[in-house]
Amino acid sequence: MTTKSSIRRLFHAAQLCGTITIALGLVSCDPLQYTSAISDFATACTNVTQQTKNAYHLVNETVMQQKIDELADKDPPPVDWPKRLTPQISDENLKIRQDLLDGLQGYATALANLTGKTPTALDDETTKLAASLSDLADNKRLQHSFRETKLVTKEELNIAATGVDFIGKFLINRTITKNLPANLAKAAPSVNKISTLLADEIGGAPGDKDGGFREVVADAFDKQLMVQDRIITEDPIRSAKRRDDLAVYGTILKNKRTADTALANTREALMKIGPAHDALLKASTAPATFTSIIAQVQARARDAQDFYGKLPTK
Amino acid sequence: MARTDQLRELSTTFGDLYDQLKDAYWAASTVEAKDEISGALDVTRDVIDALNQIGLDDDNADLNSLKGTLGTATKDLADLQGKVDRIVHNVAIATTTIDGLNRALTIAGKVMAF
Repeated sequence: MTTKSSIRRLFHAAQLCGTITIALGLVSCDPLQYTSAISDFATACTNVTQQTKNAYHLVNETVMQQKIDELADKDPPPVDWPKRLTPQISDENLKIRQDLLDGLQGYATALANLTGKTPTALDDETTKLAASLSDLADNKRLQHSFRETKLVTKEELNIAATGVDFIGKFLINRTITKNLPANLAKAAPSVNKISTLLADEIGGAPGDKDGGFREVVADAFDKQLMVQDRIITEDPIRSAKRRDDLAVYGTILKNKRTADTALANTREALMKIGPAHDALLKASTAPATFTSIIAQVQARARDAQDFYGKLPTK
Repeated sequence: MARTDQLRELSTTFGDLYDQLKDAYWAASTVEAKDEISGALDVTRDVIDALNQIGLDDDNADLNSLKGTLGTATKDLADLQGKVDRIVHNVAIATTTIDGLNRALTIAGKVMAF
């Protein structure tokens, strides 16, 4: 054998090995190759879920404070004043939103468990959540619950209901150990629709008049400022009370700005959950894209947490 | 004009009026004037909330509750309409507010007639 032909054979063998390696990689779709990325996605989902729940707490606390301030300002108070002290997001509507968020988080956590080890038995909580989601997708409660937000159309809600149903069934079946990429692709529209629905409800900037939570909260702060303004107007000039009341006014103004920033960050984080899930699909071929988008989600959620962390506890 | 179109117009007009009343509030200088405008803001918000409750796309929605809210609101808004000139000294803001009140009362009258 000449040296030339040996080199040629070695070269062909190397080429063949490379081709086999690539082919094996594509066919196996081993869930383990996604483990790290899925774990990052699950952590991001958990953070965003928590910050979105905090956002609802912020909405209810701010509107309740506004109502208390306004009632304290009325002489005599309206006869129906106890009825007026109702939360902006009712318990029933809050439960629907928490179920949607828990569904998203449950999906991400289940993915992480499935790719990491043998799946554990379905616990009672997950079974209840799945049943609740399937029920929600089936009736008009979802549509009724989101009717006040102009950014959310009936068509979008119908698509979201399908997504809710999908996630509910996923939590029960959890049959994705084989062919993970195909299953991730199947779940993508559901993850996208639910997170977009929740993001749309938070809404755009207060001036957009979309009926979103950012507008509701800004308006509640405006009303608080008006009550405080009337108190200041009646304060004796140059008095210590006037100075104190002006300081309260300044605090309300500052809170208005930071609360809106926190809500905007929460919305952005929610909006990026869908793209992060899409990037997860390509995490093995484009890991940098996935890492970048997860970092953005986490940064937004962290910024929001900085504000929510200072809110009174529930 | 179809019923849903008029409900949409009612929603837009009261949404605009809400912002105009906020401007008028900050332009008013006495506590009495601010109280008056604050009351108008409350009833305007009640109409917006009532509209949100029924949903604008529903042709068969029961309008009784909305009409009740509109009845109370129009009384208070008409009352304010005659006072804006006196309590808001910024001419541009007073003019815009009166215009907003006129439009709101006109469309409210149409919806009340359903």
